[in-house]
Amino acid sequence: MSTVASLLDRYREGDSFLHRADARVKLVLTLGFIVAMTSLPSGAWYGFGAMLVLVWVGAILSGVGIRRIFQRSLLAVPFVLIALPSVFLRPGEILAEWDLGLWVMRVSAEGLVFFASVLVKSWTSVTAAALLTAITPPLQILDALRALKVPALLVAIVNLMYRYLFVLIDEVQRLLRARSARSAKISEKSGGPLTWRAKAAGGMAGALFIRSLDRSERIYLAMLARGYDGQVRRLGPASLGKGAMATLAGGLGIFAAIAVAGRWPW
Amino acid sequence: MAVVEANGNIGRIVTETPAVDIEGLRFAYPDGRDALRGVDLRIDAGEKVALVGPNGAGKSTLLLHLNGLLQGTGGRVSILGRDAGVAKGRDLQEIRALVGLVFQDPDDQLFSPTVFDDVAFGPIYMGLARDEVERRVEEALVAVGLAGFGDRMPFHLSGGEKKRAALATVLSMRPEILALDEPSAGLDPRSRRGVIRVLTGLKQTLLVTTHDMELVREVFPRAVIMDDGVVVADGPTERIFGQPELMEKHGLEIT
Repeated sequence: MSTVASLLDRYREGDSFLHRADARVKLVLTLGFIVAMTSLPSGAWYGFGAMLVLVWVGAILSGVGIRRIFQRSLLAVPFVLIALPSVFLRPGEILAEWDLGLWVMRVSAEGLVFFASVLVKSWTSVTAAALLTAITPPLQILDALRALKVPALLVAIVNLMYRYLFVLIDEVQRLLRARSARSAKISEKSGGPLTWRAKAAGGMAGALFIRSLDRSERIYLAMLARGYDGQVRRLGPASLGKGAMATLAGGLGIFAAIAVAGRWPW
Repeated sequence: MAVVEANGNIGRIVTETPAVDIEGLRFAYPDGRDALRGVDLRIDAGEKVALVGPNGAGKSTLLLHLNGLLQGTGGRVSILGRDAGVAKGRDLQEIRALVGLVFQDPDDQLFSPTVFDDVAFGPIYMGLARDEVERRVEEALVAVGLAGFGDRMPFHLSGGEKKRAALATVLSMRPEILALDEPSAGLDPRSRRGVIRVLTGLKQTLLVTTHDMELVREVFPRAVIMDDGVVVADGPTERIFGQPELMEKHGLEIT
């Protein structure tokens, strides 16, 4: 598989009970986790800590490991910068002050706590999502979404995308290879003028588009040939067992308890 | 039209309703290109027929007419007595369940995320119950030698496995007629051998387009040559292959 495609594959093979758990349970628990996490008030450090420990325990038990989960969760950090102005804008006890001439920058204690809380909350939530994608194959997550009444057409489109992304990547690589094969470098200055190269790249994008369009028509014919009538139909999901229901209820209960206890002014 | 023999099934008991009965079929693509200009072809139930001829002869276009994906601008296509040339709605769905059509590129045929989903697609659209769908998927995968491949992603299959999985996607519908577009194209010798083994074991009426003359000789007692939108020869494979000038005229080579 190509490197690009392998980047898309977040799933880690494993045989832990977390891997084997029903994807619907895992998806709902992850959503419940994120709701509980975001509902904690700012500065509820014990609550944050408890939730973070839960994810880490999950990471260890599944054999994925805290390190890998941590690396993936760093994805959230840039987005947290949106909350940075609150450090200066929130009213409260002034910790530091800079006179910039036009405006006086004041760092407030409340602002700092708020920012740190947003940081921890979003980072922990993304960690939970990273854990979900590491222990659940993407197709099971899609099936779970369908079982949770996400519109079937939407899920079908993502399914097709997941199926053909790899085919498309292969096609792009074939095009690039064909170009490289004919791009001999004779002198230092090679590759032609920029406009010419841009034209070649544009032509490749066009070729890729036409190929994809043709393929989509052939796929549609193949679907029609097997009785497709415009309705998305799939086998209904199997019903959840007692154990799965208990896990679901237990997990959601723990999250709710932490969310409530976290509001307590310790 | 240099018909070698009007009907390739001398000596067989001819049933009243042929599996495929095509008369004077004409078809022009929207861009005005004439793909079929009066095709006549009759195939009896259980026959194995190879459809050969140069690229652009209209072979693939003809296959698309068998289950009404394309409907001719003239002539008649009858599938087990049902008119596929004019069928609509439910009738068309019925014909599509009777004719298993497999496209040349398995990446077009296998559009689902897993092999199971793909093989189950036809049965689900036939409205079958869950356990029946599962039984048929199992049966179809066993028939093509891919038992246990249900959870695999099509992208991770080899070329030969893809071709056989593509065949399974229509076998699960238990069609009476199989229309395959170049089942052995682009395969290495071992994968090709695997496909041939599967084809030999099939009980259905077979109409297969191919450029693989070895395959024709080995599996198909009857061969039909198409060129430029018409059937130019039709008869027992040995007799067709025994006419080098005929073969050469239509760009065919026996290795």
